[in-house]
Amino acid sequence: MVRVRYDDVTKRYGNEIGAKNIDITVDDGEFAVLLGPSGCGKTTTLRCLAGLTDPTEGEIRIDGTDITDRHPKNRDIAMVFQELALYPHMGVAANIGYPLKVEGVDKATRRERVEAVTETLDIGELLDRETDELSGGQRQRVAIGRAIIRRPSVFLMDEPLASLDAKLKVEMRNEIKKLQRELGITTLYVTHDQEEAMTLGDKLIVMNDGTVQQVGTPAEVYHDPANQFVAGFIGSPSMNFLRVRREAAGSQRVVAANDATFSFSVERLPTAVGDTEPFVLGVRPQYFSVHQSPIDGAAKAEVTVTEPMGDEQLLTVQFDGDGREIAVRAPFDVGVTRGDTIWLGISGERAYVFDVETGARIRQTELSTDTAVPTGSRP
Amino acid sequence: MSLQSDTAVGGRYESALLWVEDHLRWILTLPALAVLAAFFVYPVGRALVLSLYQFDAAGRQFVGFENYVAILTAGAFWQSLWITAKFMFFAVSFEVGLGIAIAFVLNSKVRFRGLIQTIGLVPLVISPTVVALLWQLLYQNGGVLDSLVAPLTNGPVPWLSDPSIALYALVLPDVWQMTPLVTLIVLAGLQSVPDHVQEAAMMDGAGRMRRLVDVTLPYIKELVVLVLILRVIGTMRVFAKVFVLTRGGPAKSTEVISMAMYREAFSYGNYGRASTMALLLLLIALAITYAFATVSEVEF
Amino acid sequence: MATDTQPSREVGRTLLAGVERIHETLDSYGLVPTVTNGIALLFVVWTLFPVYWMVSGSLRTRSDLLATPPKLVSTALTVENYPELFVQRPAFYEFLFNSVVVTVGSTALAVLLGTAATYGFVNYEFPYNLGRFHLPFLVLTTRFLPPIVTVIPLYVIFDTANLLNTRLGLVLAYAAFNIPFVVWMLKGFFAELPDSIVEAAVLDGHTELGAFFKIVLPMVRPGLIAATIFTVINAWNELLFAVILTSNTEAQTLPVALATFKTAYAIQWELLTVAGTIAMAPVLLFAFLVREKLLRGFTMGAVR
Repeated sequence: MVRVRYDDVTKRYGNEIGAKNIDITVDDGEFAVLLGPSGCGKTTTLRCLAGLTDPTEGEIRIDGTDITDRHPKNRDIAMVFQELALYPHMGVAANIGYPLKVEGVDKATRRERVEAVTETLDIGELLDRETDELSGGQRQRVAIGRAIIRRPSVFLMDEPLASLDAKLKVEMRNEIKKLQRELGITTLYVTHDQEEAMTLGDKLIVMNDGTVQQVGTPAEVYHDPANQFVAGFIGSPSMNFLRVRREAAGSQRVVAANDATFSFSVERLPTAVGDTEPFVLGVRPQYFSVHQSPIDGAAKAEVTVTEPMGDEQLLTVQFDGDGREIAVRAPFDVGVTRGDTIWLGISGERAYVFDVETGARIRQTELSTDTAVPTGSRP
Repeated sequence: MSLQSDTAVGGRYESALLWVEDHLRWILTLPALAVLAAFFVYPVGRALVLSLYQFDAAGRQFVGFENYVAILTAGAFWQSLWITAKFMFFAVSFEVGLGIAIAFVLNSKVRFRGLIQTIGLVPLVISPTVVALLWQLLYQNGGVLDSLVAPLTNGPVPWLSDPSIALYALVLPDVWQMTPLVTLIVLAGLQSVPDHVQEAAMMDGAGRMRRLVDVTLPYIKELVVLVLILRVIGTMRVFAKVFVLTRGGPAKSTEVISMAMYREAFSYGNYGRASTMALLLLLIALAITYAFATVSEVEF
Repeated sequence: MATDTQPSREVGRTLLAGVERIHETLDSYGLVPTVTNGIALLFVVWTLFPVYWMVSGSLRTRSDLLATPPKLVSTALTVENYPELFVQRPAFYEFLFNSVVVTVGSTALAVLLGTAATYGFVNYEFPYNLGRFHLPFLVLTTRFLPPIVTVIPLYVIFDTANLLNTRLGLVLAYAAFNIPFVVWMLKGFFAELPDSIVEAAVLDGHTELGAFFKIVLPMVRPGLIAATIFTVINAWNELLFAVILTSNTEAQTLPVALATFKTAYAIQWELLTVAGTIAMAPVLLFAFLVREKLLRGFTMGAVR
């Protein structure tokens, strides 16, 4: 049982905040992914657990034992670095076996375990090579081998796939996932790549500006974002955000907040949204319905760019008399070209409402029963 | 190793370990800083104090800034600076001029270039003391150099004993020893000019001279500045060659600054005067260093 | 420095045009290779002759060596001068021993302290930007400082500290003078090390200090070797400090013995050439063995 717990951890660099009030738990055997844009504090958070960075405040526990003031080598943690950090003056076998050598394991046992690990990673034939003779993917495997050979209680990875090309990335991603399942080692993985995060993680920890924005399963952070940042960060192309208000008191129609250049019907607007105050409406590109003739409750818009993408096409659309551009995904058979006029509607359950000031999500007071989305726990 | 079973974890060992890790930057750097402080900072401080005293048979007396006044007004200090400057000028001109010329020759199609480069290392690794002796032997009355110039002169040349010749007789060994340095550095620069750049310039219709000016020189400009700095600094501190060959003589005609200071301190026992001169030289050295550091982009 | 003033440009242009004309004339007769190879040969002879003259002198009799006109090649070679030097001046054993001790001791100390300090300065944060900004300036000044500036007060300091005439004193002084040099040579090597290498070593079970010895040092080995080579040569060849800080066979090194040879005796050239050869031989042999590294070091500007 290895359970990692961050208890109100804060790291300051002088006046700058590295990470603030981090309060998260990673359960035994769980694959947790720290996700966020660069500079969001995800690497700082990871390094605090490794002991490479000392938190300014707070405690980190592994299985209830406070390890905050412990030397990294006494934490039973292994890490794969973004730069991989293979020892250039050692061969493959020496690199992988090094943690055991430091631990004082005898040569024969070491060799045995190195062979076992390389077997698992499918790099048995590389044992006697020098590290500079390896390809990117092979170097990756050696770095992973060096991390798992000790059977650490926690396994950390800091953007390990960042330097690989797209195809290799997908391949290694699957491999890491498989390996983690087999070994059952509690894992924390840092990335800025949401696709990587979604496919790898049991649990996503989305961070921004040094703070945790949301913790949840990939489905939860996608379908039930806690705030405007998470909603905009997860999903590609990004969610569209429109500043709107109700058209009239109690109306289910919204209009552009300042100039009413467009209007939509949105079912089930949260009752918490007042009648005249502006709010942010978030709609993913694929949740617009595209019509080529006027239809009630839809907003008139003009197509400015079309990008065919196989089964679908991505339209860039501008509302009438309004500079704002939004992205819309439509089936490929909707025959529109640049300059065409279309009407956009919204399927009600898929529009999100956020507070203008704080970006916090404003939810339905009564949750609809027919939503397809699992609504899970939130922090 | 699991978190619970390791007895080394926690307790006194762990806290000692963490203390060492937290202070590692000081543990690594303080010993060297202490040595540098003891051998650079403290001596300069000590020199500041010594420079305020007069040393003679009666012991030492506090004289305030008298040493400074005496040195700056008497001609001897300026004379030795002038001699140093002359030595510097002739040595550096010949070393840099010859060194660059030889580098260009060696950069054209020359046989055994690698071997010649290795031979260029020979003077550079020999002690200046030994270099002085090599030349003293060549300067022997009726020796190798005398017989070499015999057709031009009547009788042996008083290389080291004629005040009008001695300084140049000191320049020669320095030129012999340090010209290869210039050659090696500039040659390395010339060989770093990529062929394709030369070829591109040729395609652009540039003649040999144009290519030299527009393509080759920019590649070696920085290196020429580098050797110039190295040699100016090097000739400013010349000591061993003078000490062995002339001891500053004849008639003080070769008394370069370090020789003058040596004599002041160890022949006359006047550490106060010598320290004063040391401080003045320090100022000059700092000024030159600072000037070079600002003017050039070369990294030292 | 390289200010493009009009007159200097004019002179340069004329000079280049002259060289160009000579080159073309030679080229038209197909003489360019002959001339360049000739100049190269002249350079080689000019460089090697003084060394040859001393080494060959050490193998000749006095009269043969000092014959007028000089005999460029001797037919009567002898090795008798070698034992004779040690018979007449048994102190040469001590000079040799002192030189070896001082060279090895000061090199070990300078490389150890210099390496540790460079690593510390380059890889850790210091107050007032000590490592990034002040270190290069410190190295620059101490490297360019004429040693005579410090050696005079150092004599007075050594006198009170009872370090005059001791090998320890020379070891410390040489180490101090070579530390900035070592720092300068190693800076680049340490700057190239990624931080994550040390962090990986720490997570693999090392302390940071252990990682420095086990992982970092092996990685910068080429730099350590280069720094050691130049420090050895500097220490072996040094005269100024040695001649001032030592006055008898307790600590005097070979350069001191050579520099004061003629004051102690009338110049016995047949013996002085032996002494000079003994002083040159180790560095020349050493230089030959590590010529690649030396060449690279010198072209970087590794000169004291």
